[in-house]
Amino acid sequence: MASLSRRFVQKNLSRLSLINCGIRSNSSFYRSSPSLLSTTRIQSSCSSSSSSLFNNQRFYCSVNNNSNNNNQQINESQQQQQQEQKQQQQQQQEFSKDKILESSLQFVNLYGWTSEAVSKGCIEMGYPPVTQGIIGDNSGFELALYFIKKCNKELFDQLSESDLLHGLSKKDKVKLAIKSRLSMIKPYQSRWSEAMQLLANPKNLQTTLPTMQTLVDDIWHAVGDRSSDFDWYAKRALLAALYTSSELFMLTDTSPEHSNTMRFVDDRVEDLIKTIKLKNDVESTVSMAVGTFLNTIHKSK
Amino acid sequence: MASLQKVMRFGSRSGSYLIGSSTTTSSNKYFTSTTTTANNSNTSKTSQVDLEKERLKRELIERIIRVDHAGEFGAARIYEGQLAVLKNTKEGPLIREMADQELEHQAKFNQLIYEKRVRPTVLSPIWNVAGFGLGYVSALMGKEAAMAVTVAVETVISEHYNDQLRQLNDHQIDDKDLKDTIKKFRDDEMEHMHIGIEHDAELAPLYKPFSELVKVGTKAAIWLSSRV
Amino acid sequence: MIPSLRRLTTGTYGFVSRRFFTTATPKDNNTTNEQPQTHFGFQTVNKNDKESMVKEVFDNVSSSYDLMNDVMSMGIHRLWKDELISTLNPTPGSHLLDVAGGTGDISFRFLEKIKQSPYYLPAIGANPPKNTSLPSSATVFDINQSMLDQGKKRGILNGYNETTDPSIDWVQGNSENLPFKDETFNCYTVSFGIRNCTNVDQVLKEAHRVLKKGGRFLCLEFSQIPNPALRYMYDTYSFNVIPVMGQLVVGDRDSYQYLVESIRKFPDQETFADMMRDAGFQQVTYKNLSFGICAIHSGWKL
Repeated sequence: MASLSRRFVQKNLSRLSLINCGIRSNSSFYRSSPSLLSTTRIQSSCSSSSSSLFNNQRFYCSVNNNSNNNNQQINESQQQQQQEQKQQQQQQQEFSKDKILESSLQFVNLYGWTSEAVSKGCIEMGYPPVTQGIIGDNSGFELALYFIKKCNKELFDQLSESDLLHGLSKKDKVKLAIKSRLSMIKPYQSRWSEAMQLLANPKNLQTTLPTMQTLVDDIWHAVGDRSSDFDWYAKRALLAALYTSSELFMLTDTSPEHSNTMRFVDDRVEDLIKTIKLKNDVESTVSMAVGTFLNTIHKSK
Repeated sequence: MASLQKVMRFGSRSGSYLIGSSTTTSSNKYFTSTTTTANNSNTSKTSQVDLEKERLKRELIERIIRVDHAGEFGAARIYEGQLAVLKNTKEGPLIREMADQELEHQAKFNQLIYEKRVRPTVLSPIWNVAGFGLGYVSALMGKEAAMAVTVAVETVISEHYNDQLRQLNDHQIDDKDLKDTIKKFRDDEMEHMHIGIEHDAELAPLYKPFSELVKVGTKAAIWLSSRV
Repeated sequence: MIPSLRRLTTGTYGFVSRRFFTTATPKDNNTTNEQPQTHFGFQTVNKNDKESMVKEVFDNVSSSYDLMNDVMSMGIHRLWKDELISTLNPTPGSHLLDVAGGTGDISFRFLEKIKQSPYYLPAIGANPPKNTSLPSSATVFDINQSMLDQGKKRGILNGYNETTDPSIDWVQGNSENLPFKDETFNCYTVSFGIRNCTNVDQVLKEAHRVLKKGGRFLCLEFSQIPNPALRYMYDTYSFNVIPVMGQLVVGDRDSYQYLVESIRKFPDQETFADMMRDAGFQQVTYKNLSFGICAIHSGWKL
């Protein structure tokens, strides 16, 4: 009987916590009598008010101790059960910032990239709204950062594990990668300019830049770029600039299915590839010229 | 160990989280230490220590590959510079052979850079020009000077490879491919050094100071390239 | 009470001062005092007596507490309290327990911050709109009824009474034995009060008990300054200026001497963070305000 009611409470833990959020009359906060302080273990068959959550077996209620069974055998088995429950609870309720941020994303369109949205996410997960502070001082920024990291990870998974890039030329691979990454922002487009402002804030820029670095690195790696000298840096910088400008363009794009943005991306990628080819040509010309010059000098010796 | 696994499960989405192995390790860039266990703060501490160790291992591997790649690149350019002068002399074919070996090494490190997603050094344009210049100038000074430069550079690089193998062992990094590569290349570099000595490197004018100067320069270049 | 004339002659500048009544052991006795001892400023007193001694200090200062705060910290205490509330960053649905809240500084700021949010929509009137904000409340808890009375007066002036806005509750009691059930509050703050408590560990345990899972514990308290030069300047100011100001402004030098001495006796930032971890709080962090004059410690019950 005791274990049944305990399990009932555990199942409905989150529901009970939501009830707790409402205003209650003052009397329900309080313990009834301080004499219960040095208390023996009270069975959970005591019907307390619904506003007390008992993770531990000691709680204070206005019912007297008549239902207290102090049999030693029952105590031992209770202790074992408690330990098992604790372990179960630990496994189930492991705290994860990612989960909170994930559940906060659904509130972004209503509340923006702010700590309000994160606190609604906390409530959704069964925590009080004040838990949003555990994400950091600036939980709106952390939410935006989590979202772009999530998008980058999704893109990486798409590019590496699926056949998306199979059989396309390098140029088309880059175009496809950029377009699929841009389309991940679509659910939050109405609030995306806020997110961009948060991410581009000089205070936060130091944290945001590595995410851009991983994004362009992933794209070039998936495309198959094997450059290993200064080209490595040039390509990534150019692609980062391309992506940022496409994102900005998309903010104000009202065409159906963002077709203008897609065309913009196509054009820019073409420009990028042309620039790289030009640079390679110039480099090879220069090295050939230098080689020929040195040859002529040393042939005469 | 169970808590570390839990950290990994929450820390990655696709489950492709691999510790310091030769395949892609970019999944750990996305989500870092987001889990804390409910009651026992000690387990979260040990998992953080483990994560820190993994991060250090990864950083070490990156540095090693970056500096080795820069080194092979620089060595190839030195030989090209020497060949520009000494192509048609008796030592020409020998230097050509050594240059081809360095190109092979460079290709292998290019592949490692691609596989392990390592950032190459920014200073490659500098090593490009500086290596070629060093080779060219030393060859102009005579073939003995060219050989002296070879000997100095290869000495430093062989020692450096030995240090790297020791570091890999100290940190218990089990990457067999990398270790075998470094061992083989170290043996090749020592061979080049012996070839240089055989071909009258020590007869170069002001051999000692010149070779010390080149060694110091190479060590500085190695230090820079491993970081930048 | 010590007559006012005596007050001017007792107490040396700096480090030792007479107290209202002393229970210190006489030095020519060889018998050891069996009762557990603790610090009261720079004096050592019995643990059982400290509570009533602290109560007396605050009974003396209650009527001019806000004024003296302004005078002593030159108004900076408002910034410290604003910083505490912006660290907490409350959103609707938060229930605050403001321990040693005294005149309610923190609670008023807490409720104002919630109301300032652009998405705040209170449920007033007969047919409230659908997406009203969750209700919030603040409970001011203090051992000293006179401080609570001062706070209630301020509350009524600001519109917090039974009819218009019942969000604040004023409760008297001892923070080592809170009369609340387990897991009742979302946030627990104690600002400039925990150093006066006899058993700080017990206060932390009680805080852990009444907080819900996911709840936050915040403590704003005077702390140690890491920089030695600034520390010297601060010590000079505290011991030489503040008690004199207390004497001049409100005629009570001893209470302010106690206040200044109790700051030095409180553990430093790291030690207090360890005490919080021992009580069960996780992700314990602290930040220094004003170069370390104050520190905000934050911990979570997870």
